[in-house]
Amino acid sequence: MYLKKLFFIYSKIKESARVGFFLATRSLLRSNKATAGMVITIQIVTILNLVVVQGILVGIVEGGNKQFREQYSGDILITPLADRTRIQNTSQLINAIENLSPHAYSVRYLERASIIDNYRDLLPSGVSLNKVSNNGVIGIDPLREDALSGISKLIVEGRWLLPSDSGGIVIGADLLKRYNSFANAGQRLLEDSIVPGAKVKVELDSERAREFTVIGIVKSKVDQISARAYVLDRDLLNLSGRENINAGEIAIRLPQSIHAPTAARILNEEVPGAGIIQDWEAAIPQALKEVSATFTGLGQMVGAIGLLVATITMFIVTFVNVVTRRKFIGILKATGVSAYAIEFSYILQAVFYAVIGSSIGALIIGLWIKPYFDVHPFDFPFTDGILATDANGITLRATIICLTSALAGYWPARKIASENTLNAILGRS
Amino acid sequence: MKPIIEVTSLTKEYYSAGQTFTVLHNLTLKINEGEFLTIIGPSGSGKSTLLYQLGLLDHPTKGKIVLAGHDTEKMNSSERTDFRLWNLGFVFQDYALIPDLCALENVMVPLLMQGKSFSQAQEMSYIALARVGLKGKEKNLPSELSGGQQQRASIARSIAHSPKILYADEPTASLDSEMSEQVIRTFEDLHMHGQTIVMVTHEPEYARRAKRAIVLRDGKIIADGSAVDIIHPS
Repeated sequence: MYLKKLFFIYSKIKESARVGFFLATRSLLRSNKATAGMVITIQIVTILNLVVVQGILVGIVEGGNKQFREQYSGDILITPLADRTRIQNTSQLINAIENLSPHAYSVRYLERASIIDNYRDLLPSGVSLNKVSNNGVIGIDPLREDALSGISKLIVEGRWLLPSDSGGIVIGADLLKRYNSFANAGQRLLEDSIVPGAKVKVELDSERAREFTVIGIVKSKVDQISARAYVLDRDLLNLSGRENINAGEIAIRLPQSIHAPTAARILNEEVPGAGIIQDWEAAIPQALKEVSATFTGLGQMVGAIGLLVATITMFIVTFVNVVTRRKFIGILKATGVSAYAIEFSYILQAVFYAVIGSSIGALIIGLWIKPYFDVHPFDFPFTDGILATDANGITLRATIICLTSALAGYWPARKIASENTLNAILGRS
Repeated sequence: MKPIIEVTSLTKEYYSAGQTFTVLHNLTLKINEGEFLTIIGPSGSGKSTLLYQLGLLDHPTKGKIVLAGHDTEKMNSSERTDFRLWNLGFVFQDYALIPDLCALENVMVPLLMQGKSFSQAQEMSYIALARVGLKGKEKNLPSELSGGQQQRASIARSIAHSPKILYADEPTASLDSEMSEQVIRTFEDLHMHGQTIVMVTHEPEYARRAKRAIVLRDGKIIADGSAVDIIHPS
């Protein structure tokens, strides 16, 4: 008895699906081209809205994160423990890093220092030294640093350091007046006279200071690069006069085959307590993570509104279509076509338009918009915004559009198909 | 002959603006298998309303309708649709073809719904269209057919699945006399082959072509008998 009933239900569903498909394909083939074009355009705009608007909002932060990783942190960034100023057991840690066969790594020695530009001038009374204080001066191996961060490509004046540039310094653009039109009131910055070839004094304290020749100016939207000055590691160690060669930072670029969190765990296990060893994502400052979460939330909110608008539009389009065909729906029912077949026909039509629209939209994004923004990122003052999206993200959103379209197609069809057959035929309410 | 339609104490009321209008008054009627019956009467007499009740397109207010031995009173909407699919055929005044479907596809739809294969449905539809004289017009959309051709396509759709009862609501009302004649001849031919036909019309000359007629006035049957006997040609 149960089997018989189940078979009956199965055959009804099968026939309804078959007739629904038959009606839908004929309706699509003979649809008004202008209406079809309009519906498909709505679907294209919807997926562009969902992917691009959200992608830009998230991409503002993602672009910053990408630059943070590429230009500063590498795949792993090691910093001192909270109660230390330097990474412990640096040489032991370097051995462990080399065992990982990294693509590149850079050991950065870090000192707090002031940079003075007018120390050679005869200063009138009342005029003090222009001392740009409390900045990080980084001692690096220039070749290793460039291999890790590509810093030489960020030079806007002069050139990057060479191993033979003893006494040379590269200064971050954030320390120079001409690159800071929005500097805080009272903030001291180096004068415009500081160009490649100019002399500056780096002063660690009243007893440890040295003159350096400016080799180049480096500019990046990553604060950690633009707000620092770079000298050779041996120059900084000589200036500081310290025997302890523990580093202030170590950045590591791994080959693609090595998973950054796994490598971080290995280093932590091999040299426990050396420092904070984090993959790049964990190393992103908390404030940036919060901004990222906010922008992602905003993007999702804008996307949800876009999706809602598209759903309502699809609903209206289907509803108008169904209402104008109310009589024919009644006729179909009169001739014995089930309400399920009629509903299925409208769902199929809505999904068809959604699939076509989403596919065209996805192609536009994949073949044109994404490659364009990869080459021409948005130039925000604090980051280069990219279009944060991938094939999975586009597929997910296209699937959401198809599902909501199916719902928008189903509901009006259900409403009309379930009403009194005679009322539908005669156009009575 | 056994009865294929049995109507007992059928009443249909409509409610509008707080008032009740009784369109059909306590009708009792039997129609035998293979009969060609016409329902005639002046406008507002309840002809079409009776046809809609008999065709399960509407629910009577009171009374009982038994079609081909099935009591229709307890059927839900889905069962009524299914019953129409397997047992009833409809011809409407304005042809009621689906505009997106060509003549052949219009005829195929109920057959596909019955579970016939695509090729089987196509073959049966070709035969049905040929039977009503539409050979060669199968691929034409309704908009590409004349009124008479559309009505004959509608008849083909209503008979392709061999229904037990064929209902026709004013099938000639939108047609000129030549086309009307073609449609009535088609009905006569179907009747010759044993088809039960119930036709509503207000045109006496076509009503007389049926074998039996019932005359409705104010929702009541005022005459029932041989069409030729009770309908005056004028």
